[in-house]
Order: sequence, then structure tokens, then C-alpha cells
Amino acid sequence: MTPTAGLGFKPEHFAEAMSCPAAGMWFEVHAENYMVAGGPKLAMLEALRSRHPLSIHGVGLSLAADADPDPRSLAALNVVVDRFRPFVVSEHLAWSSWAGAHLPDLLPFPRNQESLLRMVRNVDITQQALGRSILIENPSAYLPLAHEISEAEFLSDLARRTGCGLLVDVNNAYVSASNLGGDAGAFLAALPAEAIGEIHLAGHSPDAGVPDSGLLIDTHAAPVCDVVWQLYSDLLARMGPRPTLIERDDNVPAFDVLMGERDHAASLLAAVVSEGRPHAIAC
Amino acid sequence: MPLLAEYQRDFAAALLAPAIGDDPAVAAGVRVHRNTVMKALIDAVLANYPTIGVLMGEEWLADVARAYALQHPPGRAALADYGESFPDFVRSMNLTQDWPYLPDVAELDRAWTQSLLAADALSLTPARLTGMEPSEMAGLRLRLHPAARYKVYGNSAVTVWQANRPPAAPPAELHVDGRDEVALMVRNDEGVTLLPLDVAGRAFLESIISGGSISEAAGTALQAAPDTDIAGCWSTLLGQGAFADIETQGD
Repeated sequence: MTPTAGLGFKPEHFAEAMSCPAAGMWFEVHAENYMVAGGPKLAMLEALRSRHPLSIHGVGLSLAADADPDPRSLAALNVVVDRFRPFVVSEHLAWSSWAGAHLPDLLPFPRNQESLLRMVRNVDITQQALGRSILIENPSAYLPLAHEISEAEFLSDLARRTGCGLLVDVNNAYVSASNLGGDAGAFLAALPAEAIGEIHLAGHSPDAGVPDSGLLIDTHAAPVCDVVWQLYSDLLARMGPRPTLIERDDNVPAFDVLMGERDHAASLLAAVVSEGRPHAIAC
Repeated sequence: MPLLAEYQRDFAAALLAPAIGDDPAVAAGVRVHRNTVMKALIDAVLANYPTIGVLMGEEWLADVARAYALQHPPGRAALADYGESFPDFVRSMNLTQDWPYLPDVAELDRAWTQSLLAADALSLTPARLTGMEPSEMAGLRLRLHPAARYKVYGNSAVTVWQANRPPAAPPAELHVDGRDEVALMVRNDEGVTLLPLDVAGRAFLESIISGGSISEAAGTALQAAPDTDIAGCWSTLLGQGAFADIETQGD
């Protein structure tokens, strides 16, 4: 069955996830949560995989660091991918490890020729190690940097040079544009449609630390907002359907509530299919 | 040094240091990233040391976890077992006057996490031994299952841990005498469980761990406590999946 709209998997929703009958349903998990030797976590995911397609989403390869990906991390990712046979594997346009210390966040860097070459090399290394292509996601941005290449151009070049696909996080695009004064719609419109293999939708929150900072934070703690739904519809209208994920990591509501958002995405996907848009999946 | 590397060195330092630069927009952005990093690390410690959170309060644990994370950032992205050296960190705080059991309780939380995440392997089951000659069985030398953790803990920590580890309802009062206690953590279909061991059970298990056969271990246990129900002890250990299946053993 072709994956349509899916949910980030929450272990507390295991029973409902197992019995979920929705057509095209799929789940995404963070690779790092399953980089363990054994035990009930792996058994639970194995059971889920026997019922639904899975996407493996890495958050820790640190591909934009000025260092080759850690061979141990690549090996651990390979173990997870081999075991759970995901229909897609993804990572981020970000870094998180430096000098042996892992800083669990998607950290920014100045986009220029030097960082593009480094990112190309690291995506190549990763794709070779996994023996398959991956998708690269646009993260949320919070601080102004002296960029020489726009984010859309950087991602387009990266996809062209490495053959990787793109995971477009519409909420991240909105948060970044809001925080740094950009145009999320223009960013999404500038991405190469044929490279886009998956879409993320999530909610954000105003900065609780310093309210007058004016920053939006990609908290995954709220429902998808109306503007993000509109940007998503516009993106689908341009390129046709893609597997779409609803992410929620904090203030996690009941499974049915998340399914409500998931079903809304599925209905928007079905609408572009019935309009005759090609159903292209890059990976 | 390449510019990208230079940027990352400085940014990593800025995240872990208290001072932030002068530009308010940069400072706000760095603060967001620092909060995200620290929240992830603190949450990982809170998740892996829940009994410390019950005993000392989540706020106390979060403060200590923050100090720990700044000194001991993880070496890899997988955080399910983050906080390996946290019991040592708690021990170094020298809280022995009021909470002598705290470092040992942290070690018990650590053992629980290690057991939960340990490699899968078949357990030795009673059915596996059915039909075996008694003499053959008596001569078996067993290994603990990879998810089993056996250790001696000081300061009545096992009693304190059992009474307070979530989801247990913490007792209003708990009288402890501070003696050494042993704990065997096992993992089976019920999850991770702590098996209490009496003097005989301890002697039996320590003999097995040091390479003794089943009959030698039973002899040691009966010497330690002549009235003990060694068959009952054996049956409990076997039923809880404490031992690795004999086919999977190297020798």
C-alpha cells in the first residue's frame, strides 16, 4: 500500500497504532531511540513494522559538521535500517556533534561553498554506508547568520550533487521565515519538486523563555496551525502528493486527536490525487 | 582551521558556557538552542533516574542533571542510556550525612536501564531441562542472561529503591538499618524486575557467577543457610529468566 499520511510513533499509543485501519497509514520514528542492543523497545517497533510501513528519521548524524560522520553512528543507523526496512530514511541540514560531544539539537551554520562541499561529502558518505539514498530536512532557524547561499538553493544543489531527496518541513519553513524575516511560501516554491520525497507538518509555540524575543519555537507541542496547512495545500497543488507526517512530541494528545490531523492531511493528499496530479515519490 | 570548523567550535563553546555575545538577536537564538540541548539532556537523566526524582524532587534532580550534562555531555546521539556516570556524579556530591543511600539508589536505576536495553537472548527455561539426567543437570555451569544484573549495594539502597521506584507509591516513612543488600535485576516478558535474594540465594548465585556448577552452587547455598529451600530458590531464578539458555553458551 502506498504511504499517504502518517504519524510520529508514540509508545503510549502502541495498541491503537497496531490496530489502526486507515488506508496508507505509516509511522515515523527517530533512529537514535532504537540504537539499543535489545529489549522491549525493539520488540515493540518490530511488531509495529509487521503492521505498517515505517520511516526512519535520524536526528544525530551531524551531517553539517566539518567532520566526517562518526562511523559508529553510521553503523548503528545501518543496523536500525536493516532491521526495520523503512520505506524512507531521512536526516537534517544541521549539525549536532563537535569534538566528541553530542549537543542534542539541530544546530545552524553559515551556508556557503565550504559548508556545501562538506555537506555534499557527508551525505555521499552516508548514502554509501547505507546503500540507499536519504532525504534531507530543512530545520527551524533561530539566529541570523552571514549566509552566502539561500536555504532553497543550498538544498537544491545538495540534492543535485548527491542524488539525495528532500524532506520538506512546512512548519520549520514557517518558523524560520517568521524568526528571520523571510517568505516561507517563496522558499517552498523554490525547492525542486522532483526531489521532495516527504513532508513534515507540526505545531510551534511562542518563545516561553523570553516572550519579547518574538521568536517562534519548533516545539511539536501544538496542533498544525492554519497558515502551515495553507502552505502545505499550496505545495501539494504545485507538486502532487507526497507521504506526509504529523509530528507531535510534547503535550501529546490522545491517538484519535492526532488521527484527526492525520486524516485532514490524508484528505488533502486524496484531493490532489483526484485532480490528476502525478503521484511521485522521490525515494 | 576551516571557517566551518571554527564556527562549530565557537558555537559548541557558546552553548555550554553561561556568557552569550552582545548582539541580542544572536543571543536570543543561541539561548533557544541552549535550552533545547539542555532540556534534552536533563529529560534523559530524569527518565533514567526516576527514583532519585522521587526521593529528592524533580526540581532538585533537574538542577543536578544540568550540572552533570555541562560536565559530561554525551558522546553519541543515542540518549536512551545517557547518564552512565551519573551515580558517580551523585556520589561526588557527598550527601552522605542526610542521604547516604542516594548514590547506590542511582546505581540501581542505572542497572534497571542497562537491563532494559541489554541484548536479546533466549533464557534457560524449565522445559529446556525436562528429561535431562539429574547428574547432567547438576553439573551444568550457567551464565546469567545478558539482561541480568547482579550487584551488592550499600546503605539499604535496595530497600529504599524498591519502595520508591515508580510506579511504587513512596512510603510515608521507611526504616532502614544501612546494611549491604544484594539485587538481581532480570528482564522477562513482564519487563525488568528486581528479585530479592536471601543469604542462600545470594550464595547460590555468586557461586554460579564465579563458574560453579548447579550442584556446587546448591552446596554453597546450603552451607550458608542449612534450612534454606534451595529448590524453591532455583525454581524462582529459572522461572524469572535469570540464566541464558545453555545452547547459547560458549563453553
